[in-house]
Amino acid sequence: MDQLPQTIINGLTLGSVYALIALGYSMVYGILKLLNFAHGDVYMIGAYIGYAVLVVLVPSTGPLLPIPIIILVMFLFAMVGCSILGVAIERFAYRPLRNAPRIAPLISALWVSFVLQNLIQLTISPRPLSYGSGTLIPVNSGINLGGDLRIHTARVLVIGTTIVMMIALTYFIRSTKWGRAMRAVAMDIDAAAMMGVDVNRVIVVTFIVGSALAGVAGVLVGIVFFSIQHTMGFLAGLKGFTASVVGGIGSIPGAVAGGLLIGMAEAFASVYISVTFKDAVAFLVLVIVLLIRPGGLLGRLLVQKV
Amino acid sequence: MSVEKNTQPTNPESESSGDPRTGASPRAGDSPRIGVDEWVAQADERKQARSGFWGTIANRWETIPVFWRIGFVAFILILAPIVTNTTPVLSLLDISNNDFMVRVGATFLAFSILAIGLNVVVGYAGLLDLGYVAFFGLASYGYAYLSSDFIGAGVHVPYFISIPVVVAFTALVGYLLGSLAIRLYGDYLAIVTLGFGLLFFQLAQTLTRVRFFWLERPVDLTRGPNGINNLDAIPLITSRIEESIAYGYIYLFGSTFTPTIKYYFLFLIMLGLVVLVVHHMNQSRLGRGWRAMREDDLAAEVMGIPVRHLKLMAFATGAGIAALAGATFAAWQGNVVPIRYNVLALINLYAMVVLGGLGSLPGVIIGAFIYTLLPEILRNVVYATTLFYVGGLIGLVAWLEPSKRLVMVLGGTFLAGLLLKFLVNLLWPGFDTGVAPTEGFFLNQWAQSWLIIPANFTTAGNLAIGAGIAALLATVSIKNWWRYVFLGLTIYLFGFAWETRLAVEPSVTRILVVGASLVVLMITRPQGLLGKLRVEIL
Amino acid sequence: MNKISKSLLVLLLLFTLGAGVASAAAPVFQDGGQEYIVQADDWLSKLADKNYGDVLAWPIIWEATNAKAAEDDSFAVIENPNLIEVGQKLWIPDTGAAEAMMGDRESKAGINIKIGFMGPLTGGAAFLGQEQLNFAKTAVQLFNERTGFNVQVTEGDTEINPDTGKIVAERFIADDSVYAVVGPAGSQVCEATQPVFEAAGMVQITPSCTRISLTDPGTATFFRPVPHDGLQGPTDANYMMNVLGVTSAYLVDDQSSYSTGLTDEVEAALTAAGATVERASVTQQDTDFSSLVTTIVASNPGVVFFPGQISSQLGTLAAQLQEQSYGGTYFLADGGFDISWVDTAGEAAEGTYLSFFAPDPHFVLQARDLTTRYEAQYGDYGAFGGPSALSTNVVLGAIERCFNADNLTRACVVEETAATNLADSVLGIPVSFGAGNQINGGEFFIFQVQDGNFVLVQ
Repeated sequence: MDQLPQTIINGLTLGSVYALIALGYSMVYGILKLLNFAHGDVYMIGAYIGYAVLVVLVPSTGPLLPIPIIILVMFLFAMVGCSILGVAIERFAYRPLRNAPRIAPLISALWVSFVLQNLIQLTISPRPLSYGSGTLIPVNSGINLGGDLRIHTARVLVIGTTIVMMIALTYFIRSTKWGRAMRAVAMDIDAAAMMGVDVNRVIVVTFIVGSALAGVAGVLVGIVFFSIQHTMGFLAGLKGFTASVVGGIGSIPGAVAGGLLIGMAEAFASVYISVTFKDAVAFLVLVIVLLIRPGGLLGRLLVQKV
Repeated sequence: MSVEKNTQPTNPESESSGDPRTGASPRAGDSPRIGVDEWVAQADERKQARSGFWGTIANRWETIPVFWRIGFVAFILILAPIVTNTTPVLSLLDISNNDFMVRVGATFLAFSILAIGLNVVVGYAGLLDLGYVAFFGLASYGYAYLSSDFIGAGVHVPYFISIPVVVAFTALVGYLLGSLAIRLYGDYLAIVTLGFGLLFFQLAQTLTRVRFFWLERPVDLTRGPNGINNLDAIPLITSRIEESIAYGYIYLFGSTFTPTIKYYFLFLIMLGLVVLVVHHMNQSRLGRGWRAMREDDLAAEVMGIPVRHLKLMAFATGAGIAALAGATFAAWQGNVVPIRYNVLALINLYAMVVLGGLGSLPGVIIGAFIYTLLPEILRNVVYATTLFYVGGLIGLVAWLEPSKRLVMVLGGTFLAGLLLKFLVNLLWPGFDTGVAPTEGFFLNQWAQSWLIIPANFTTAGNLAIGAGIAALLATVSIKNWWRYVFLGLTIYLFGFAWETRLAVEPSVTRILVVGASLVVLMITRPQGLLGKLRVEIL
Repeated sequence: MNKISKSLLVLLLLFTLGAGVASAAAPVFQDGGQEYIVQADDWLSKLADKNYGDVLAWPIIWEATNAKAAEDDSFAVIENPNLIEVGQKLWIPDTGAAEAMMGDRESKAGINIKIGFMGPLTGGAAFLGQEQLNFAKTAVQLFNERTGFNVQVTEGDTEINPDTGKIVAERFIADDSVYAVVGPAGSQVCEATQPVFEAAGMVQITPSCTRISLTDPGTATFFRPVPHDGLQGPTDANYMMNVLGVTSAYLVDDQSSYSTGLTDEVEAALTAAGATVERASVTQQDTDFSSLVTTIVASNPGVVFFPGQISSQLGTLAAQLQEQSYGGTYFLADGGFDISWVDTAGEAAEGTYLSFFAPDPHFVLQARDLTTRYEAQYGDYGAFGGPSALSTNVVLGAIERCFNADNLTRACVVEETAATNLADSVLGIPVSFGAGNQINGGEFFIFQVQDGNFVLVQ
């Protein structure tokens, strides 16, 4: 049973990343009812932007700035870059399709995702890149939890950043003008438009926020797991998507809960069943949750409008 | 500046009609109206809208009776592998055999069968089934268990038993899955079926040592990523008859009757049967029920249509068709590998169906045709280059129409390019090496005599790709005359990117071109090539 | 001293000149010509300009000198035409001979010869396929410069899908100017395309399919210049048991055909020797192995064996093993022979073992030309490119021999490839083919990461 605490740490780390990705899916779906499959690749681009910043700020001679500032700069660049990308994708691949058959934006999203992957392969490298172990955070740093158990600083960073992001997002949605507008649009897009909400702008803001979160997730994955690759977005995107659905798509706390559930399910499946079946377990969780609670854990089932 | 700002439309309606054809009414006839049968209402409009060369052909084509139309297409499909096998054609194409083309053709036929099955579920019944490839895969593995050396010393059930068994079994699985998923609506159904599809792929990859409690040793169910090999082939009726057909074929056409040709015709026959069955299903009460349910399943239920039964029928039919294609495909390839049933395969199938037009049988087949052929054509750098330049030109003509602006943009870009090259060579001699890695084809040579090619062209090309995309997006979003400047810039940058990077790596470019054209097609024609727009009620 | 050596040189020069004139068996175009001692500030194209009035004629001097070196020890073979040393002796054919050679080169350049390359060029395994493709291209470039041929590489993306592999294979076969195919990667794709190439009688030489059954029994057209899993598995298992002295192992594969195949072999060998073995598999998309590591640490095996192909994954697993204080040994296969993961994993990589069948191409002298050219064009590389360049060189050699025998056909290329007998190669190993067209000999070496470098330990 002494694997239990370590498994929980593993699950929390992974779950935090999934939660950050799931939020973007969930927000976009809540407003546009669109399965934004390109979201996983926005996360991938975030990881690459972080890598670029890392290469510039940490040359082989040593870091140019204090490490926390470097990490902040990485976050900042990834957030800005991903926001621009997300807005561009929305503007050029989704907006023209807003009144089209529902499957058209789905296909558009999938192919935007492939185009992004292959652009990275073509222009950066087909080789996987690595942030490097110990480049930013010393290998042996961490909090001792007694015995052999240690929680690495990078993991603390991942979990901490996710919590901060979550609080900020909740504040944003609950208490700001844009947040209220987003809730209104999510509730009824036409009614909101009639009440004077600029729907297009709200959608743009949604994409900015969602993509920025994905960018943060990309950088965090680079910092804690080192390895980044141009195809990393697809599976992670599917997992994030699974998480948002399991939690109840369209619901912010649901996305977080779903992310943590999927992360935990994978961690526990790896340790107590076999790592071989962790992906299968994640998808099995999805199927079972939806069959039992068709609206997801914290979501409401869409009322069919006639 | 304020004038420019005002021209930026803000509401989605005028945004989506933001095509630069000035004077064109903003798609009044294109968008569906509630309560009117669009197809009937627009029949005349459509006829009138068709003008020019292609329009005339389309109109003529519609006057031919359906029977002859189908007969014509079938005739071409039957003749295609035979004709391309004859010596004059082979020497014309400068190749020594055409198994390549026949193989691509057979792949197209197999995928159009699969796409038709998907069309039944998604196009007719309106159920977004993202687990469709799992049925394709399930049937292949089923065939592998029944007709190969995999189990024990080898189980070799003859194909005329194993294929029907597999089809029936898969249809049953489709029915069962359907009855599980039926309580979900719309996207939730899509998600659960996607989960099912992913689960299938993962299990096919990993079920290599399953412990059953009654067995001592773990059992290998799938052989993992390596898959199961040496599946039984499907003879034409019997091996004897196949031999005599092969002799007759050589006698008649003078070329060998390869297995690829055999499966080509097998798939062709199957396609014909499936089209026939699906067409009649769609014309029958079942099909009318599906359509009613697709448009509004609540209303359909109120009208007394057995929605639940119809949904399950759609799932089972789709699964059955997938199984037929899956088992035959596995027999043709002689193996089953999990990678054939991954998400990519699903995306490809959806792209075919959506490209051709959801709900339209000929559309789906055309979609499969284009989608199988285009990537194969793009493998060849010369064809890809031709397609890139000629396609770009056609796109420009379609966008700007043959007008002064087109001439100005093209001429301006061309002259600006020459001037730039001249200036750079004058001011900075040695910078423009004029040598790009792709040479030899006249289009490449022409482009390279116009572009500035620095010595380190790889980095420059990578930057040009990013800058070109940015310039293209700027062209699309800016509304005043500046966009023609950006258009010229886009042309220059993409020409440069093509010569230095894209043509150098045809494999990646292939995917980029296919992806970009699909996204553009979706934006310009969301209903697909032959599909119809319809009102969707959520 | 300088004077003495110079006069000695002149003497030697005169002597060899006489010998050159005396030998009547020399090829026709080499009869006329003169020796030349490289001065400071000389390079081949400058000499070509001076002698023939054509800067582009430089390969003639290169070729002629190398031809001379084969029969005369006082000439040194020029490995790299961009690097000639002062005092080095060159052979400059006279104008007539040069024209004949130039014409010869031009006629060679006019022949349309292609080599097909197939492999995963897009998607998750693209890093492997692209590296192999680019190494093949670089090998062809060097070959073209040396011989004057204009061989082209045409590529086909298999997406590691056997169906696509067959289409690509048929496409190469349908192109009459393709004489041989390098690739593909992924044993299941090799297995699917093997009969297609056999029916067409075309050489298929794979740098990376290592499943035993491919060359046992094998086909006449399938060549494998790399040793297979049947050698690597037992070698690794032996080393683990006998040298490292472990009795328990945790085997992890990455769900690729290569990885599962090799892991099966290692597992079989370990189980046969009585070790306890546990097994798990991850995917090539995974970026996090911490849960896997938790399991590993709980069962605390003597060695963790991970024949992964993605270098950054190897680094991640190494670092996470260290993070959770795993005490045993970390053991890799071919994929680990890529210094980039060692650089990024830092001290976590120290002491890691791995097996490979050739020395590190970064340090192989015979590959210097190839690797410098590759690095200049494509950047850093791992372990998968070397075998690809080797395969390409083998078929290029066969094509050249067939051309010289005036019999440039696919059948001849098959024969000549089978007859390959290289004492040395870019991988620093001899190459000849035995039963099933499997490379003769072939043994695996064990390396260990020490101070951030690969050190040969067995």
